[in-house]
Formats: sequence, structure tokens, C-alpha cells
Amino acid sequence: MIVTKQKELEGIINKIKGTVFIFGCGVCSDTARTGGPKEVLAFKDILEKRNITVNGTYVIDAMCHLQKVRKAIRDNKESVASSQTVIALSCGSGVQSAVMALDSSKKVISGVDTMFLGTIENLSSLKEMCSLCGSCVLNETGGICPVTLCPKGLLNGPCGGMKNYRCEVDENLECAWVRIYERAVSQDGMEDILRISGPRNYSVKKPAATVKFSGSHK
Amino acid sequence: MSNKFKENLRKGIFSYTSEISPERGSDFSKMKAVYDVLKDTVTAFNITDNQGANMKMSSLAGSVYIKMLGGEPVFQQTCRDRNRMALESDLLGAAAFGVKNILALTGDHISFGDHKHAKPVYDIDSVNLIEIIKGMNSGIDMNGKALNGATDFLIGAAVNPESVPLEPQLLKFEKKIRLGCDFFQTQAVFSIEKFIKFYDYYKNFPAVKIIGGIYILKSAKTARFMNKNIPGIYIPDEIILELENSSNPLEKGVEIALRIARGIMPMVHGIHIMAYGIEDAVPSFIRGFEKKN
Repeated sequence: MIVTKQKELEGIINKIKGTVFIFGCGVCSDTARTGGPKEVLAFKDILEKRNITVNGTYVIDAMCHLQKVRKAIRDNKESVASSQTVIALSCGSGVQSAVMALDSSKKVISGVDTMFLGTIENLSSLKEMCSLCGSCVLNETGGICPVTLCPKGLLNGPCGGMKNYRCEVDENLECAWVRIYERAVSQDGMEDILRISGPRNYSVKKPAATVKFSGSHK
Repeated sequence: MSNKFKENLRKGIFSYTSEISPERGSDFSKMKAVYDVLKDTVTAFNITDNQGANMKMSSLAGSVYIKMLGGEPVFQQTCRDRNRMALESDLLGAAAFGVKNILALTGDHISFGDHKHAKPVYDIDSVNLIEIIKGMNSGIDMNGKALNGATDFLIGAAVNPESVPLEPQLLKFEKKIRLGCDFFQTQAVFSIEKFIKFYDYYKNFPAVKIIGGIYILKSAKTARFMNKNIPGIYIPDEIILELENSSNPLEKGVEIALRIARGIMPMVHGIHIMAYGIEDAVPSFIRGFEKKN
């Protein structure tokens, strides 16, 4: 899931023009507690207390899905049409789906910052484990990602700053390379981590990448 | 052009290295002052690269300056602030100005320094950097393109012999050796016992030269600060207590450093003396070290 964090309130309010419609996202923002049904209503309350008219709210099942956003706009046609500003409590992908789906006169404001791809450890704990780097090394590192879990993204072993199994950047963080090493020892996987890893290939990530399919998925 | 540091290591002459940190500013005078204090006793001078992630004059410019003064610089290059292309071009620039020694480092994380909002680069790591330098010494860049003028660097890297646990650190150490690293300067040593364990491992690689890191502590307060704030430093409580109970902590700090240096001497090819702000103490430290040996 995509983890989001609410932006500072005054910054959002300062951007609002006229009346407002609020969209939330029922998938990630709901789990991240930034844009599910509860947060959307709470946000409405806040705006109304500031004398900002909220014409309606709606939680879309996946705001990153352009077709679903289009449908949500159709389903709320009048109240969206009467709003000058649309607030999206969703990741940057969802915000931009709204921009694409709405006519260009509508001001779209993001209510959150998009933080990371998170693993749901439990409903109270979301943890970043993958950086979406485009060239996965997990098969070489015993399934523990140094690109994400090492603040320096090191691929050939720990830095000299590791201390007592802990990361130099955050003592609450176990050094990713200590974990990788220990797992390699216990799984007889030393061969993989003894291999010298060359520089990463950043060209695998294209700017504004698109994947297109031909034929039916089903 | 000869390289005194390389010659010393080759001939087995015990070498002394120390550090000169460029200033935050365009003024060379403090570097010159430290150089003047150290020049008669120290073999080579590490020129730090935005040390502790604090912005300073470039280590390339600092290295060229020390070269101009007649010193033998060790150009420290971290992977924190520059991508592979910037590192390569600085290496060529350094070579063109006659800089002969490189210390390839990962670099303390941005979050330690004075530019906390900057992007940490780490495009490549210190292992990759060693491979690049090796290639440049043979006349090619990292993509295999021929250079108009090869480099001739003695390649150095860092290792932390006190690392807990030690094994993952040795994994990386061995990769650096396999790629052709010529010498290592170790993180500050405070435990001879731990160093012996490290020695038991590296004695299997007789071609590699090990320069042991010796830190001259000036007070118990400094030691506590370092334990808390300097990555990879382990100063045992007994040493802190010794400093605390001494009426002359600096003198005690020199005594402790001498004790450690003598303890590791049979296992190393030289020592790297770190004495931030108390560089004046280094020449007498070296003379004291040589006298008793």
C-alpha cells in the first residue's frame, strides 16, 4: 500500500478557492488513516468550522484508478460541478487521477504527502520495505532489501558506521547488512553476498513511465 | 613523480599518516598551519571530504594545495555527495595535478552534518569506487572507454576493526581486497584485543598494507561525545575513566594513544593519527612512539 501523511492544515486551507468537494481513497488512505470515510468527514468538519462550504464528500475505492475516479465524479455530478476546489486525500497518483478526470477549471488540492510503499505489519504499523527501485536485488540478499533498509542503499556490505548491530543513522534500526549476513549464514547463502555487486543501473527507471498491454487481461 | 607514501609501504618503512581538514571557506591558512606542524614527522596527509557531512572546501582542492606545499596528500573521496560521473571526473582532475593516493569511502550519512536537508547521493559504494579507480589506473573509465592519460593511484579504503559484529565488516573488507585495494586505514582503535581478532583475519592477505587508526583523546568529555555521535566508534569505559581521573587529561590521552599504538605496532604497516584541534601534540607523540620502540 501507499502510505500518506496529512499535510499541515493551514497550507491546505490557504490554497482553497470557493466551495469544496472532498474525495478520499478507500484503499491506501483509509489504511493510512489519512483519507478513509472517518478522515474525510473529520476534514469536512474542520473546513466547515473555518466557514468553508463543503458541497459533498466521497470515498473512492482506489483513487489511483482513473476510471473509478471518473465514475465517482459522475455519481456526484452536481455537487462536484458546484465546487471550485476539489480536495483529494489520497496519494499523488490519486490526486493526479482527479486532475485528469476533472475539467481544467477545477482546482485540485492534495491534502496529504505521499511517503512510501508500506507493508502493513498490522493495522497500527506500516513499514517501508521496498523503494520501487526497478532493479530488485532481493534474490541476492536473502530477501532483505538493502536499497530500502540501509539509508545509504549499500549493496556490498555494511558501512563502517554500524555499531552494535545498529544503523549509524537511527539506533532503533537494525543494520540491514547485519541481517542480510546473518540470514546468509543460517541459509548457506554466503555465495550470493560474497559476490561483488556492481553499480546500480538507474536507467531502468524511465521518467513518467507507462506500461501498456495489448489483448485482454481476463 | 615519486610517491613517498607508496615507497614507504613498499619498502616496509613504518608510515605515519594524519589528517588535514579543509576549512569552511576559501582560506588555506589553517590547513597550512596544520601542515607546518606535521610536515617533518608525517608521511602522508589525508585531506578529508566534507568530514562528518559538514560542508567544507573540496578535498580535491585541499589535496592539490598540500601537494603544492610539497606534502603527500591522500585524497579522501566519499560517495555521499557526488554521483559516479562526478567522482570519476574529480579523480582525473586529482591525477592531473599529481595527487597519487586515494582513500575511497562511503561517507558519514548526510543526517550527521550541517546540510541535513540535502540529498544523500550514494550512487555507488566504496567497493564500486575502488573498482573504478583500478580501471582508471589501467587507462579506462568505468564504462570501459579509454582515457587520454591513465591515472596512477595508490588505492586505499577504510575498515572498522572494532565493528560489532565484525564478520559483515570483514565481508566488505575482503571485497575491497579482491578488487585490488592497496592499503587500509582503520577506524580508531581502542581495543588491542579486538584488533588482534581483526589481525587474525587479515594476515591471510599479506599484500595488503594496514595503517592502524590512533585517536588522541583530549578529555573524557570528548570520548563520551564521540561514543554517542561518531559512527562506528567504541571507546571502552576504562579509557574514559582513565581520562576522567587524570589531572592532565591531554597528557593522559597521549599516553593512552601511545599504549594502543605500541600494542598494534607489530601487526600494522603504519599508524594514522587523528588529533582534531590538537595537532600540535602529534610530532611529540610520534617522537615518543619511536623512542620507546
